[in-house]
Amino acid sequence: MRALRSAVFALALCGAATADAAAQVELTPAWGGWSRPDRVTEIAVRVQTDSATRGAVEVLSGKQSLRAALELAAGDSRRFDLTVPAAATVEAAIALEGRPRDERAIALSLSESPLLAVALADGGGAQLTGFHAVTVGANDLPRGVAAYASVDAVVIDGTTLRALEPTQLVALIGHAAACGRLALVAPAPDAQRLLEGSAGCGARTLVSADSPQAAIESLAATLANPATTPASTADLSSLLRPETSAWPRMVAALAATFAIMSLALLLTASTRVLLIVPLLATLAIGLLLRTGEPRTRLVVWAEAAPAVRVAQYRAWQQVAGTARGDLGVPVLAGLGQPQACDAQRPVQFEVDAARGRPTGALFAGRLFDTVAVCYSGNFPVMRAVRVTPLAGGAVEIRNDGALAWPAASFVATGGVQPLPALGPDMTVTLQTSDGQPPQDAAQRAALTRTPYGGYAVLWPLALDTVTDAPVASAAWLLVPIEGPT
Amino acid sequence: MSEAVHTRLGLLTGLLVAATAATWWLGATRLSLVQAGSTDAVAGSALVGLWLARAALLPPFALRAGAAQGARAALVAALAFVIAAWPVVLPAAHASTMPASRLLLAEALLLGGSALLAAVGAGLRSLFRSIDDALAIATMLGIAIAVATWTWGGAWTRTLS
Repeated sequence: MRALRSAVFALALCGAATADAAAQVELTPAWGGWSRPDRVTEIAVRVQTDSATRGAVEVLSGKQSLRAALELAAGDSRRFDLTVPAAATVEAAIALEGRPRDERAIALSLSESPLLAVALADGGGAQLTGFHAVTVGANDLPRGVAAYASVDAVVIDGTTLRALEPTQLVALIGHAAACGRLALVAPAPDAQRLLEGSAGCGARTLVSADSPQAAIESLAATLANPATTPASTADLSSLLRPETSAWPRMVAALAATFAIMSLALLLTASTRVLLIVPLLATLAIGLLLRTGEPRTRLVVWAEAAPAVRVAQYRAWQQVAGTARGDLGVPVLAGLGQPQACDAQRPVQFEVDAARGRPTGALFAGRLFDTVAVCYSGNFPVMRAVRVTPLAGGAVEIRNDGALAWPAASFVATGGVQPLPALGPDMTVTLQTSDGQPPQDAAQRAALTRTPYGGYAVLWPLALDTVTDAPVASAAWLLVPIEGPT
Repeated sequence: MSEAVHTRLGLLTGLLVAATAATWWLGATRLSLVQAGSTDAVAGSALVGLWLARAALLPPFALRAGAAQGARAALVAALAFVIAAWPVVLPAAHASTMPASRLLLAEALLLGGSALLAAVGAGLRSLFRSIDDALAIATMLGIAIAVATWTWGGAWTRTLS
């Protein structure tokens, strides 16, 4: 069955490469076409033309479509990568001026078992119990970190590492930073240092060895460490409540409408006026709906283990619709690759082919409905927190790092209390019984993410790097700390 | 009753129906927003309920108005009754996922029904010598149509949704 799929896939690719001598368009999925259900993958689009042309490439996968407008000069070659939800079939349509519309289907192989991507220069394979191993080449590795979601572990050797393009290397570093399981086989010392230096989760999921077999054994040992679970929408439900500002506006509008209609009933006997008043009220409500400005809100939630140098973040850009119709959401440049938060909701991303990055998302909007674009990524951080339990329910909190902290909130035993700013090597002693019930949504979210019997420190963050962040933006960094065992 | 009184009665009845539907819709929407539920289903239910209530009340009202005042006065009164709900229908349509064509068809059916029932009411007025007889027959016929509409409301709403 797999062989048949591969043959169909190979045929599709051959067809893709030989479609048109004047304008060649190639669509190549990452990981050799392997992925997993409900994950995301990447499709590389290469367009080459002999004559000047313009048009668009549209890729449809599941409920999500991506559209990239193209304008090519004679002899131009353009390559960009599209992050798409993994589906059994990804459809693509290429419409170039003066040429017939070209439609293709790319078959992806979706594995129910966890996937192990093996990228060894000698083409050798490797097996890990419980995983389905897929042999890939350097060119099969994705250019965007999001597509690493397709695989559950990666084995890569030094030769393949050296063969990676800079964008692929950046994506691999991002994968390591996102606590991805990664085994390096005989890596160059500088590459190993680079990856270990940027690895998240204290580099617990990054191993290196001299041989593929030893790397696999080390990788198997990391499976004992449970993968870090990122904060989900359910965890942060207190922060991600739907926008409700349209509701009081509609209540006021309808109350005013009914009041005016009641006054008309009381004050006039003219049938013409009695018929015109509801029509004018309907018109006024229609104008109110059309002129309402959609409200945008950005929520960023980051987490980092104590003393770990990389924090993982997830961001939700929520836009509240005010009327039925197309609802455009501008993609924020300072954050990672955007994805639709709800995979079941149709969305079209507009992609800038020159930069290979989505610039906007188009949803079908409705009144009282909130649409959301999600981002995820990581950033460097240093919050070396040490919490030492003392007698009588007190705890000593120490800044073990080299940088001072701003004031924060300390979460323990279901309560929240202020934590003063601490310089390097400074300590403060708090009574856990002094904790108060959470005062706001962020503190409630921090409580849900605090380990059982453990502690957490919550800092508000400034969104300086996201220059186009909406006014209603908020960001937090949580450092969960395991309690004494 | 004069034409103006029938029109005011139509508008008042329509206003009461619309205000009831709006109160339920906005209340249920608020609960859905707080509980992160689906607001489009609530809006769809409000639209169906509003349509069904008007479709059930329109026959006795328009037939009686036609029997009492003639076709023109009945048509104006029935139109006032139907369009009084439009300030609620429009935002509820914006909040729902019902196809716009179905919503337009539903409102067109009510408008067409208004004209037809007003004409039938006027026909009863000319058929019976006594206004009281015409009103009694119009009332009974209207109630029968209203009961039928309400009874087969499920079939109507399936057709329209």
